[in-house]
Amino acid sequence: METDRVRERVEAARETVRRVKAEISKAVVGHGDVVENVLICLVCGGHALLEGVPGLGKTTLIRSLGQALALKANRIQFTPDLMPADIIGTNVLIQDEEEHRVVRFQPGPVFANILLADEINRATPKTQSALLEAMQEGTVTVAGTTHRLASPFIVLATQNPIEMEGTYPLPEAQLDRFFFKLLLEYPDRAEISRIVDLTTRAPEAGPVPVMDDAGVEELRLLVREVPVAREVRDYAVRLALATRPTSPLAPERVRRYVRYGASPRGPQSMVLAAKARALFDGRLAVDYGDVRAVVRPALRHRILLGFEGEAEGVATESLIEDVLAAVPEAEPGPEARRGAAAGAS
Amino acid sequence: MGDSGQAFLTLLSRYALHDRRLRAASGALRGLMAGLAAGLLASLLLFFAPLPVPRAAAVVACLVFGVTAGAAVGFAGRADTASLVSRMDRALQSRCLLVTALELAPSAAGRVLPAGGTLYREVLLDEAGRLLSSADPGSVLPLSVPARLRWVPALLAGILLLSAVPADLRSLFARRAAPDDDIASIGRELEEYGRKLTEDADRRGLPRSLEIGRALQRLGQELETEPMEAEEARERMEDLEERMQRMQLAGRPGSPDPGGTGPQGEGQAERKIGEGQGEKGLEKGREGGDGSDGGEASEDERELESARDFLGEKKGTRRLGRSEGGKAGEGAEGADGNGGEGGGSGDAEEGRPGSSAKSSEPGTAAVPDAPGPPTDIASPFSNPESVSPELRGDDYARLLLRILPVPEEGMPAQPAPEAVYRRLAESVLSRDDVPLELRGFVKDYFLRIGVLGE
Repeated sequence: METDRVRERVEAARETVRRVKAEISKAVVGHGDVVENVLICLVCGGHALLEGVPGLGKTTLIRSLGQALALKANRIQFTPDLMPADIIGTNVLIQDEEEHRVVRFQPGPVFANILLADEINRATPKTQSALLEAMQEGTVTVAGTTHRLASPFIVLATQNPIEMEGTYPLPEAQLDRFFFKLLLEYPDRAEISRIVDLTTRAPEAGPVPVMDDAGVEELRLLVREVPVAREVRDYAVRLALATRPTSPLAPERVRRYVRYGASPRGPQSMVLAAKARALFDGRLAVDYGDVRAVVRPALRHRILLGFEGEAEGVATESLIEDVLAAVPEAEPGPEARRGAAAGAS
Repeated sequence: MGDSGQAFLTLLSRYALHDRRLRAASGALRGLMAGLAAGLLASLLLFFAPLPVPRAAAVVACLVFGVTAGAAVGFAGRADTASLVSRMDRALQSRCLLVTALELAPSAAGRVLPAGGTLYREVLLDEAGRLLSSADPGSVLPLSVPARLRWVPALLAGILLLSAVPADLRSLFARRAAPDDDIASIGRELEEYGRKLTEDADRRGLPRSLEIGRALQRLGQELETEPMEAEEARERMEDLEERMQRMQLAGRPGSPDPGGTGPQGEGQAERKIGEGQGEKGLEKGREGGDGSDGGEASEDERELESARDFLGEKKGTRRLGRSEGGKAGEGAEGADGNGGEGGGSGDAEEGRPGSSAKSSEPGTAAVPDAPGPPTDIASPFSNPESVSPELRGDDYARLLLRILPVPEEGMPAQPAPEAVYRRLAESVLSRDDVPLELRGFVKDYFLRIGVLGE
């Protein structure tokens, strides 16, 4: 039956994700939520910005992901002198076998399934912008020729929050193109012990591929088919609206400290990520908890603080907490609305 | 629409029906509250502006209408299916499965809401249907009563019940609250009187008085020792009084009036003037009897009469919790030469507000009702030593005046008190047993107090 086949596909997807997580955990200790969110970005067709101090395993995580998925992973170490051509590639003049000189496109490291843009804020804005088209359109254009990138394609950029000298903060336009911004926290005592054990003994077998690009494409299809109830979708929309200082839904601190709130990419990210979470959990319906779980990574880089917020060192995370507290899950029903209207009149 | 969708909608309709019943119940509760309030209002209105409608019927009608209307409005009210399914999702912890399924299920117009998920539609509807079929509507959607609906109806019902308690029932409660000490004190007085009467009758060989004295002693002991309500105490005293009356009738052939009407009755009432309380009153009554005719009634009978007066006085005392307003008229009538019984005379005194201090003194209460035989009315002047100090001269006049009705004191209407007392005075003056040398004095007395015309 059709329904049985659908159930089997859903169950298979769930099992695959579980196995990918298990493979990554062979090399990465802790960071379970970060791993899951990276996978969500992957199956949603988004990109992730990972922020954390050096030594927390950002590069290891991304390399392990590439290994577990049997995808081509490239790494670019961003530096101030890095040029756009170093990322997307360039046309080079070469001489073919018949001694003819021809111009041929030499693909850059962006031509991969997983691109690790390490310390992306150390490159100049010009170089950072080289990734804009790749991230949004999945293509790069060199000398008037557009080249399609491989699918799936995901950019996993990292940045260091403490060494800000000589860095170029990402422009808002590029920040908004990241599906999630993930924060890597310090591991706890048990995790550090395990990291020490894992890295000071004879190397063990790393992650083995459990899913290929076709599997990723299948997951992407399944995720987008997950239905979302209207009120759950509206909850995500209201959350995004509440980050705007001019919105009547915005809490007091948002009105005071925020200059710009989330763009429409915010609720897009939330709903799509919530669908992926539900599917990873084996559910076919998205609930409010799924939305709440992805609000922080989806909105924290989309809220731009105003002068007062910057001056007072307001944390975006605290503003998101205010938004979550201010916006109720279920909007009042027609009966309650009628009652409220009658009371107001 | 597939079978899953149809099954889901069918199951959902069961829950919707259950929800309508719940809303009907909730509406009935609200209606009950409103009906109670309306019933209370109607009860108050009928209390202040009596209409030909029984209060109970008005209250019941308000309740029935409120409950019926509330239930009907609740049941017929428009249901918000989305809200209902959201509540069910929370109750079943199904994480928005039902809400999503509702959007995937075709609506009544056959329109599919744009929630997407065509791939999973059948699977999701099937899961939702199985979830609904495995649950119980009563447990998923329990009847929840708001806090205000819990205590407000109880409070209103309590007020309504209190207002609906019959007046006689409330008076019964009030009577139950009569202090036992008062009854016990009456019992002590009765016992003391009975003891004295028993001793005196035994010494003087008066058999009926002896019997009554013992009966009074027993009754006094019972009132003093046994827990008893005022009504019961009064009934027992009335029983003994009837017994004494029967004794008098049995020992006085040819006397048709057991209540003491006629000359003998007058003599009984008059005797009270000379009576004090307890032993004093008994001795004075005896002296009065000895000093009068002595041939018409035996000593035994006089003692009986005195005892009966004493008992009647105690029976009518306010300490037994009896409102004696109506008795005042009786006392006045008894004084109209008809020889009302001593108890009635005491009542006349008791019914007057503000005289409670005096009313507790036996003997003095009977003064105004007595027509005034020579042995009593004249005795203060002929033999001042035999009258208590407050009954002399102006005091006596003041005491007599006290029985005059005072309108502002709320006395019940009496038939022309001045005329009554004019006749009383004239009858006293015309009696043969008033010594001639004292008639002028008595006339001057009544003239002075303004009762008698020139």
